[in-house]
Amino acid sequence: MLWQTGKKDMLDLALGLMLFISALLSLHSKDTMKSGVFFIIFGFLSGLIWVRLEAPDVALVEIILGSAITGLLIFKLVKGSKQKDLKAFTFTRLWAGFISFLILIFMLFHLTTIERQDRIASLVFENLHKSGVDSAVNAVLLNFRGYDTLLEVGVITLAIFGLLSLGLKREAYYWDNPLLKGFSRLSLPFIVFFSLYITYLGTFSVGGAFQGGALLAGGLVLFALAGQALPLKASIIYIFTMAGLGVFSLIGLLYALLGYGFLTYPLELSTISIMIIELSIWISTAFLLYTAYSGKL
Amino acid sequence: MIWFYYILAILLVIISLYHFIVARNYVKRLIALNILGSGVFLFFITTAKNTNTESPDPVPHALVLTGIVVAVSATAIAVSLILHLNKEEE
Amino acid sequence: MISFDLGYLIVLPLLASIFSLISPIRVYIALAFSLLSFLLSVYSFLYTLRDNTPLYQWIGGWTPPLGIGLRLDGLSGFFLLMIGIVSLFVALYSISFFNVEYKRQGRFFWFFFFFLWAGLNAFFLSEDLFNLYVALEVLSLTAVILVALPGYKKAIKASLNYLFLSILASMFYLLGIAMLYANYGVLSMSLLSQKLSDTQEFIYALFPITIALAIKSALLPFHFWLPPAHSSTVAPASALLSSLVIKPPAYLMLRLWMEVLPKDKSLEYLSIVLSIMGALAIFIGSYYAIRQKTIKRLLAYSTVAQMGYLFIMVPLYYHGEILKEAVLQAFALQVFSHALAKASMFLSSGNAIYVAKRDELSYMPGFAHSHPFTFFALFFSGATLIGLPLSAGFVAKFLFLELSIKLGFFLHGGIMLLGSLLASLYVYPIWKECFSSHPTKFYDKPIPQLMEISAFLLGFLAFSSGMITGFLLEGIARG
Repeated sequence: MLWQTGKKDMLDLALGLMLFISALLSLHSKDTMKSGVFFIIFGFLSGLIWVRLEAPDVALVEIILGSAITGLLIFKLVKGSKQKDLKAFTFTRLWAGFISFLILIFMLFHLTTIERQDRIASLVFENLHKSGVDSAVNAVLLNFRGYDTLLEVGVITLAIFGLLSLGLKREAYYWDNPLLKGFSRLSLPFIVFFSLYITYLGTFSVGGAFQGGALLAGGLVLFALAGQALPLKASIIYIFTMAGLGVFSLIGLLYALLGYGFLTYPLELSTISIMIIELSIWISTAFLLYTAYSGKL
Repeated sequence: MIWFYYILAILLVIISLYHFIVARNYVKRLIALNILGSGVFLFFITTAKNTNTESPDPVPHALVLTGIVVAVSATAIAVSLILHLNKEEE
Repeated sequence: MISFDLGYLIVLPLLASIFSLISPIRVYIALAFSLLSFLLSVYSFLYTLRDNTPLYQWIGGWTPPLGIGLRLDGLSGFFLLMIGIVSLFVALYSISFFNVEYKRQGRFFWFFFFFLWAGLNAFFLSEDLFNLYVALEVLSLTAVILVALPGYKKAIKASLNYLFLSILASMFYLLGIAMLYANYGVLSMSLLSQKLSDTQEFIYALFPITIALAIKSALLPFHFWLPPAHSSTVAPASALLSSLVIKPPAYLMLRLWMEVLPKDKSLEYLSIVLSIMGALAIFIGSYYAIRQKTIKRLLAYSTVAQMGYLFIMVPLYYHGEILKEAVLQAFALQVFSHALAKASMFLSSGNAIYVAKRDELSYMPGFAHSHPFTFFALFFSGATLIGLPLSAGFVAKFLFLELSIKLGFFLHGGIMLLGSLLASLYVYPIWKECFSSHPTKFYDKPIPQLMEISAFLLGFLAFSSGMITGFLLEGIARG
């Protein structure tokens, strides 16, 4: 096999190397703050690599949710916790290293058994025109395997309400800066529309409800960071957070009661059903993540 | 280049596993778990590229998307628990 | 006429969880939806007794490998019934429990309770590997939150430990699915079983999946998270965790070994390793249970031991296609009897702690004198755990014994008998305390009726269902 390193391959190598190094730095660093920073870099590079691997929708979700929001959560932790990192016993490190090495060899052997095949891809593309959307990933996400997404929306709703149930009274951290106040107030309407646009874009191109929702959450959090309260009643925010799970379940139930089957959209109604579901996921993801930040309703 | 990414994914998995076992700090272990997740996701996405069709396989993409949301949810719970624990210790 | 749709079993509890957040009619909503979900589960079970073929449903109308499949066959219908029964009685108990203490947690409890029910139904119905991953996450994350519910430091620590191990296990499971998908290109279990018949590559993927399921079901040596987690939380949550949440991974293991994996020499070695771990779980779990001085930890270690039964039988899953019906019956009944009995015991322990305000065995109220219902609850459920005759536990262990003798695994049968003896050694101290006539142990505090009755009925059901096992297990092997 000829090993030809073209320009694109050099890019792959560089990205991969940077990814690995940022992961190492994040894990190895003694200071938890540095670990957090390197983790955000790692997430960002992950997203870039996935764009290289032709997975732009997933890259978007990773950069927004996996890198930015997870990084935000970890910084909350680093700020609030003691920064201790004791060295583990040598014995632990020895057998952990041994096990890791074994797994490496094991997985390398497994790699030799993987072949290039079509898997489910061809089926998806064949049925794409029946799904109601033009984007393949969103067709899988909201139609072919929509049931997974229903449970997933459930998981994120559950996590945030679990957070609330712990009853941690957090002092809302805010930065009393007129520049921030003004900027967040100006940008919020734009962010609302932009996130809505990204959600709508998911129907025929790269985008989707989770990405849009997380973006909107970012805008809301920025607004709250400046110390301002959202001009919405607490009960409205409550309803918004449950909207995703509620609407999705109700639509699934509705189609079951009507005789089509659970979560089975009739062909003509599939696009509109998916759009309604996407909107509900958009608004609930935004307010759920905002609630996770603000810690109270 | 596919094999390069597969090996990268496996390397991510094992270094994060090593650090998960070895680290004494909750934050480090949480980061290690997230990096482990990213390794598994990279494995999936590389598999998606490993097809004969023109565009990559959208099914692993959807699976990874779900996986990321689930991982963020779990991280949120973990962060909340750790904060609660630290608060109690004060 | 509304046709029966498997989606109802999942969507109904999901909607219930959302509606239950609306106060103040929370309790009525909880009661109404619990009854509805219970009736739906009973209907599904009776449905499986009717037909001869399993009910497959492809969500969205897309057949696998494109879509996700739900399957209602004898085994899953039976477990749906089990989930329904335990959940209903825990719900009745909780209505009263959160009325008298932990009122703040009672606001959110119902949300998690119904979410758990939805996740359990989703798990037992699904036949898609990734869907099982998401359902497993639903269960694990809800369980983590339930463990942390009381809010004191011990619970949070146990919950955090549980969470970390749970995420690790989920990531391993996901890795296993990734490997299987890379090799075979399908996620549906039935399609996978067809593709696996001649190949060997699945062995690689089996390792992370087995480790993941072992961590999740607290098999030795991954059992360390269970005793703190199940004992640090409120009684209804402990009941749900020990009786229901711990079972799905073992169920998945059964499905994989009996329906998906083909015959292969290396699988035989793996089955031997798993059965050794199961035997060790029985011994070590029982040993620690005997040594415990507090009720809840005792029951938690007992769960570790009882789960060992399910793993010591792995060679039987592997070798036992000829006796497939018997294997399924034994497994199902063991899970069923343990679920009802353990839930009843945890609920009764909640009663004990309510009266005595303490967890230690030596402070346990003399229930035989003051609260006979609770004593009988403990008696019936304890007897089922040990496997005394007439109880469902006895029939389960008898079936296992019969199976192991027929297939020539005498050692396994012997260990299971020993396990019953060990179980009696840790159940007996509980009974002993009930009869204690020490004056300070007569607590006058009356236990709320609903709490007592629900615990008692569950225990009684655990015991008496031994007499109707014929009816219960009739449809198990269908499909």
